Amino acid sequence: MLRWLYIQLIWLHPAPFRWRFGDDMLDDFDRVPNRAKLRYLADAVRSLARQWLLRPEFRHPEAPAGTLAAAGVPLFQTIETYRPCPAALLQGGLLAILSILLAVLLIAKGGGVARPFFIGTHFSRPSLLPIDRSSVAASDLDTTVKLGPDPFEAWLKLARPYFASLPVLRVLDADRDLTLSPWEIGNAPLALRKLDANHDGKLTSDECGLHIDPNSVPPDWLEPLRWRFMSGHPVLAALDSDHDGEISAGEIEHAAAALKRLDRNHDGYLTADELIPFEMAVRAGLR
Amino acid sequence: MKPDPDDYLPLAPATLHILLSLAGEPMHGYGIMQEVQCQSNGRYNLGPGTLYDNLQRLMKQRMVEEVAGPRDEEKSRRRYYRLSALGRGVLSQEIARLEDVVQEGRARLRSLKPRRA
Repeated sequence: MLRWLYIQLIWLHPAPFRWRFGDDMLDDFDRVPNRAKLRYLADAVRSLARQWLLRPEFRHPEAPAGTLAAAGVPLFQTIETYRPCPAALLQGGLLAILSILLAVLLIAKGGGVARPFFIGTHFSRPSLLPIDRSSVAASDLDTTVKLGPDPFEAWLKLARPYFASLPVLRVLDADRDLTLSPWEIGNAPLALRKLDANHDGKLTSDECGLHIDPNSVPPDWLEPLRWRFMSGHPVLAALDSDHDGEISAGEIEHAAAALKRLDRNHDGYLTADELIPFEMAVRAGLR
Repeated sequence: MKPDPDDYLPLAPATLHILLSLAGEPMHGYGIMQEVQCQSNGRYNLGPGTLYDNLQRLMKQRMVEEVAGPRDEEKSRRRYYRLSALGRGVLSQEIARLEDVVQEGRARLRSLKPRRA
């Protein structure tokens, strides 16, 4: 339960921070003893506030309120005429999170009766090696150990539709093996230029695979939606290094260096687990 | 223009501890947290949110850089960090500044001590 809560807190961080440090934060949380987990949760709440309030470079560009109101979309409505003070909103938010934490803790304790600790894990993970226990009893020369499926197969299963849905990954992965090899990374500028449909030298979010019908959303929502799309996919966020929502000619030129930043284990290859967004991996149970 | 280490002083406690941890060999995030705890005799516990927020800022200021992990941990997914030349310069300046503060503090405390007749 605490792990789930921690994942949600990571999820709420700005996308560039999340895709760069989210995995490491979760890994640290898994390593730490149970008694320190609540401290880590509090730290994640503080980090969340810091990232959104004190790190403007990762803030989401807000649509102008006036024009949204003109489009008939109420942003925030109060019964009274006064505007709530930002400090009060922040305090209220923190208080709500603390209350939820307390409630979760009480529920986890089962109304005062501490749950016994079990040896082993409550959740199956791809890294665990499943063993057929029936073979242990009859331990003779014919003993067989059944190995589970390749843990990476689950990543590949997730990567297939993901690569197919994202044109940037489609053109980068020339041999369709769901892995970007050093050659494919080096060839990235050439590959990306193939997506430049209007030959203006840069790649917009539409050319990167975002499909929005401009008539279906208010015009002022388009820019935030485009920004969210570009920052939500690690490969696009890495390529769009200045986070302006498009991949400029300069960024295409330096695409290989930008992609190398995603190579977490520095083996020269970008594999599915390094390219799939954190939240997608969590949803699939791979994190 | 080359950045002046003095521009980054004084350092916040978390930043100082992180730079100190990285003064030796490259480390991953969890290693840095353990090292900080060890340096401060368990009195200063750095959480992952605080650590990675600081690392993000330090990398932007080019005081810390990401490097490949040790060869035996090639398969590990963890990111490793080390001090850059600028980071080393900033840390040295901060230590020198703290030494001055300690000397000054000791001198003042000595003058406050009651003397024997």
